[in-house]
Amino acid sequence: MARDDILIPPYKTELFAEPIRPEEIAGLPGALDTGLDQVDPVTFSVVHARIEGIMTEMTETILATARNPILHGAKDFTCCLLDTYGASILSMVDCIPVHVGTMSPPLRFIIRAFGDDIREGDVFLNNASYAGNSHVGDFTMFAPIFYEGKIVAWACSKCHLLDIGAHLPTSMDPFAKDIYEEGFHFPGVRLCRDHKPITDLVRFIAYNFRYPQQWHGDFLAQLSSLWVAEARVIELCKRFGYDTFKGCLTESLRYGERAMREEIAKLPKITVTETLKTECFKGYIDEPLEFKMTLTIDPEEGYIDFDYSEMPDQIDFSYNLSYATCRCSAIQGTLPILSPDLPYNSGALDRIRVKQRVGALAGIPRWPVGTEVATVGLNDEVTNLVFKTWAKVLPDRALAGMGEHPAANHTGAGIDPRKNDQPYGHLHYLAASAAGATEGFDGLPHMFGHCIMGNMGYESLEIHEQSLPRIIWEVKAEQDSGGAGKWRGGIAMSHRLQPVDHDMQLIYCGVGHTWPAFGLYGGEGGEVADHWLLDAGTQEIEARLENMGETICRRDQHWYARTGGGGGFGDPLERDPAKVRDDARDGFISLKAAREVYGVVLDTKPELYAVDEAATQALRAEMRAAA
Amino acid sequence: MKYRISVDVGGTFTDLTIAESETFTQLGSHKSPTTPEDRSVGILNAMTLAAEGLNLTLQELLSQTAVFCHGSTTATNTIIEMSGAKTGLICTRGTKYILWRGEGRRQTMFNYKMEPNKPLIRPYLCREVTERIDAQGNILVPLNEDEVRAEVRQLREWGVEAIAVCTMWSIVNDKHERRIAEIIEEEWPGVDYCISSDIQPIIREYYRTSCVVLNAMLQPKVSRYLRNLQGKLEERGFRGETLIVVSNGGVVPISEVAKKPVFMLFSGPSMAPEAGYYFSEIEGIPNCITVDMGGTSFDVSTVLEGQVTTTKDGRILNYPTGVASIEIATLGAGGGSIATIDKGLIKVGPRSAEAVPGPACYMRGGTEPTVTDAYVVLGYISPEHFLNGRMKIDRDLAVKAVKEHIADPLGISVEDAALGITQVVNENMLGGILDMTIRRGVDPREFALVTGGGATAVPVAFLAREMGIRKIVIPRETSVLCAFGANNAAIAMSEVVSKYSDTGNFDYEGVNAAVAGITGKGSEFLTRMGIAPRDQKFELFVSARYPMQTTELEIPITLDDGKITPAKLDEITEAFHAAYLARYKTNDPASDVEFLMWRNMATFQRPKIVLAERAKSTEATPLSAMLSTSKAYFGGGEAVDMPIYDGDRLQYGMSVPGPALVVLPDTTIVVPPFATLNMRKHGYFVMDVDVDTQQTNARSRKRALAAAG
Repeated sequence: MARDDILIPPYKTELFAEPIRPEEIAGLPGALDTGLDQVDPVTFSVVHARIEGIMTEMTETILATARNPILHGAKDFTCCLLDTYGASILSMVDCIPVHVGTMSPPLRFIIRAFGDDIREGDVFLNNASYAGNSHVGDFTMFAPIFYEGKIVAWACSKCHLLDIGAHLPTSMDPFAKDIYEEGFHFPGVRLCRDHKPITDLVRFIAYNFRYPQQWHGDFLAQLSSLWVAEARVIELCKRFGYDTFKGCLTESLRYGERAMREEIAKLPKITVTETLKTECFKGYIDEPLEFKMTLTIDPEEGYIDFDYSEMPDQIDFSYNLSYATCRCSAIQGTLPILSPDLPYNSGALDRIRVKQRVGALAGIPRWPVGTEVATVGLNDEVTNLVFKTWAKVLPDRALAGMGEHPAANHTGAGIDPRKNDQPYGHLHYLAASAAGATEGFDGLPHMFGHCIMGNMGYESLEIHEQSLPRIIWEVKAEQDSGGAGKWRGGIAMSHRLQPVDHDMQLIYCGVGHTWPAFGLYGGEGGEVADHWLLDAGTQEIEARLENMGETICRRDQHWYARTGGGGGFGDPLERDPAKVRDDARDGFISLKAAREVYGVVLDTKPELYAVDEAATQALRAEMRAAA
Repeated sequence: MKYRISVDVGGTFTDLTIAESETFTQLGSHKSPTTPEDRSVGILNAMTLAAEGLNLTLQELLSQTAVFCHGSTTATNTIIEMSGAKTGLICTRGTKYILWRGEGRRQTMFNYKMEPNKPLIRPYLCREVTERIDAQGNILVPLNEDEVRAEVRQLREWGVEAIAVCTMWSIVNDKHERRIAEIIEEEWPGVDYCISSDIQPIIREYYRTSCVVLNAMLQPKVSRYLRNLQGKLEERGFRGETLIVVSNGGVVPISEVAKKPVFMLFSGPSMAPEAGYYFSEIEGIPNCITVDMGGTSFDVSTVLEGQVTTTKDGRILNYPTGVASIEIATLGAGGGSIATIDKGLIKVGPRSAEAVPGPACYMRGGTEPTVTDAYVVLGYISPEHFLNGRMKIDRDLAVKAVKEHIADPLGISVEDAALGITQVVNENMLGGILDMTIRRGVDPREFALVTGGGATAVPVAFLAREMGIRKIVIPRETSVLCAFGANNAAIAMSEVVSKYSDTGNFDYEGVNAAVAGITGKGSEFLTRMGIAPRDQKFELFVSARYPMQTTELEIPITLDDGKITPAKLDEITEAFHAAYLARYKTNDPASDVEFLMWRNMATFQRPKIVLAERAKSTEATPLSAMLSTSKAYFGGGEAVDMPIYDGDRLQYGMSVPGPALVVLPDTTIVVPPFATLNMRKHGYFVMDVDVDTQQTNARSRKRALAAAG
């Protein structure tokens, strides 16, 4: 029976925030089975490897079959397997960081809403942030997997869609002040029964979403990935036995917890507080606010606690974090600091706790304020602060500020004159921002911000021009965009493109305009993100665009968007002159910067340049004295 | 002209097989160490061994050799070692960072303490020139020829050894690339250069640039290598024809690849599937999986219904090559893979002990346990008979390594720990087999599993049982399988053309013209090879997708009197929907289908090698071939007695029940208790596996796993 008390919103936060209790799923056959108590280590290793293989196959399936470039090109999706309680299993391989911690809450809501009315062949959808999802654009679909009549696990695919039927042609509308302006929400809705789509519902969605054929293709891609996982899990149950397989799932959560506790036990018992100024948005945040968080580590109990209760109040636009993305920001900034290869499952993730305040910008939003862009801008800002806070605890693991996107969530929409003026919409993944530097390594390029951490793909220029009426005149590494330092901030990219024979509508909202990505320990900040409209002929600037807005790029203009570079780490005068030379030769830094910022004198005559050692030493000494 | 020789130059060994060229009878096989500084030396050494085997001098052998087939890792190693020509790129203004940009998707999202991906060549060597063509082939910006001249001069001044050219949309209009080529010849006559529309006209600038740059890097070295080799052979009396193994599994004359060495990147291993199929065909099985375990890697390839499985995009060091290749799943799991414990789990690889120090039992200073050490502990490799006694190994060192690093930390016996290592590595290998079969909707249970490589017959029975495969074929040539395959390979060349069209408004004229272009090239090629039209074989494929997708599914197609007609188009479209459903479990039959790239494979199958038939033994039991008895462990807490047989003394008709160990000069075969080994009349072995007692059910061990970390 479906629960009839989960009908009218606002829903209580605990419906998706609290773990499922055994009595809540007792009516589902097999749901309480934990399987073999002791699985031998070899079998566990084997099953574990196979589950990872299944997740990879789910991912490859979507890449190959999706219709939407943010899926097949940029890979803005994550697949995973969850247990019958909705706990994510060690199996989120190749994921998007902002998705890592946002899998369980929307499933818990579905489990509670549908109770024991869950059958083999069902597929459920939850894209509602007030029902536990990340944001409205993330179509999070779940399929229960049954073996011989008993529920084994849930497969999940979370895919970012291009359009969700809002008044503006985008799934990233920064102006949406509440959920009613965001598009269509599905707070736990059954989409398939008996492995068949429920056609009236499909018709309803296809009617309301722009580019319906594209959506339908993406929907099929998600089903493919879920059903491929289902088939593979059933094969595994057949091969190893239901009890053994279930025992492995249970063990993998214990394994995650054990690994995380081991990591936390190495940390000091400490409490630190850190702040960061917010990005400004004209008319919404005119003066910078202050983000503030406190981190407490308890190595004995094995918990990492973040207190977000002093975050600023929520604002009437869709920049607010949802419950799930807010919690996830702490995870995104913590896993890489501890160890990059920790298992990304609930056993590990549940050791990170976040105190979230109701009504805060980064907390638990108060119904029905907008959260449509909760996966990008603000999530990145808060994650940056999580890293900055950790820098106080573990300086050698510290990461300088992440470069951002001038329009991290920007949609370009128009009509294609080559295809009978058919409307199109597109999110751009042509150029990516870069990460901050860290002790021992320069900042990594091609990152797309903390929410992605480099795990998205670039679009091919030729494929882009084939499918859309555009000319991409340039994608390039932006000279001097990485913050100077002993370890240089990552080099950002830019793109410059022109709509062909039509005028293109741009809707955008980004961060990293107001403040450069911060440097650490003497490193300089990265170049800020920015974007402009240029005259197509003269390349003169016709307009500098804000970080949030809506505009038209005419057919005789170029849209030039420069992402932000990462912050530097350490004193630039300590940078290895050979690295400065390599950077200068490849155009990553200017000759002026080589001399004036890094104090390196180069002979640019020979092909490989040459460091003038004596002159460099003298210049550096002079610069140190002047400082 | 009596002989047909083929040589496969691998990283460690140069393998040779020789056959009689009129009757195609297999005469023998030989192995000689590879000589990396000049690989032709190793080739001549192997040929000398072959000559001695026939009581001939090298000169006598070569002067009577009609065909010499050559597979070589020269191109592969040149890229892996990054020792190719210093290459400069000339590209469209605004695209010089394409190689540095790559594809994104670094897949290690939470690790930031790492170096970024290295571009194939540094950005400063990528030189932009003003020009632009659009997706329809219109020239938006004409080529600035002065800039081209200046850049060629600049690259020359910098001592570049080869120039690659790739401009945007040269696949629909190659005018600018051709003009750049002319200017290069004018400015710098004699320099090695290549243009992307010649080498491989595929869409996606990153793939195409990567392909043409790889080609330029290889061009000087590979053509020099081939010239040098050919010269040395001719000096020694060779007057026959040299055929080079290419990535698609065919062989072509030197003249066809000297300018396109990127097609040689998988020259060696590409022979494995065809060679495996040779044996499964004799067994009457149209599907086979060929597996090859080396020191650091495990290669899997398949043949389905007589067709070798290929991919449109073979990769090297994760750089796209843009070239259709035999599809090989390569796993980092080999005899040298190191076993460790990570938070209570046994992990094997990807770290490897390499050749130095090698497995602990090699006595070269290695202390960490490898897969080979586990085999030694279990009795699957016998120290007395390893590589015919040519190589000494120490079982105690293997035991010590497994005990200290795995058994003691887990609190289990050394034998169980060794068995655990083999089970984990088997599981990794199974992953490769799954990749090539079940994950593509192909059921491996009706397949024959064929072994290549001397150590593969150790784990193969266990792999077969896990996959439910009943029949394993172990060729006598298993340790030289690729060389054997090269002697059999078809003469084959594939040509591609990018021509977009869709079912909504199909451009019959344009597509048919494009397809006629590639079929024409294919038939010209075979005619040049002196092959009569009736022996020429053509296979056509199209890469198709639903609208707005960017990954294509390649499906085979046929033409109606050389053309695609409306009826043919319907047939192709139906075939696409069906192939899509099989692969992805959904499809969209109401949708249009888009076609992007057309590929023609022109082949001529040379007569195949014939293996001599042996007389049937009067003895049914293999007692006369038995060498000794030793102990082996297959689980269950107790080691069992296991006889060791000399494989060379086993005869057609004999049957060896498991458990048993069969040793051959370069090969070891483990026959576990659930299998039986038989020799066939053509001299190869077949192992029958009892798959009904499939897989040891998970036994609950006494200690809780949770305490292991």
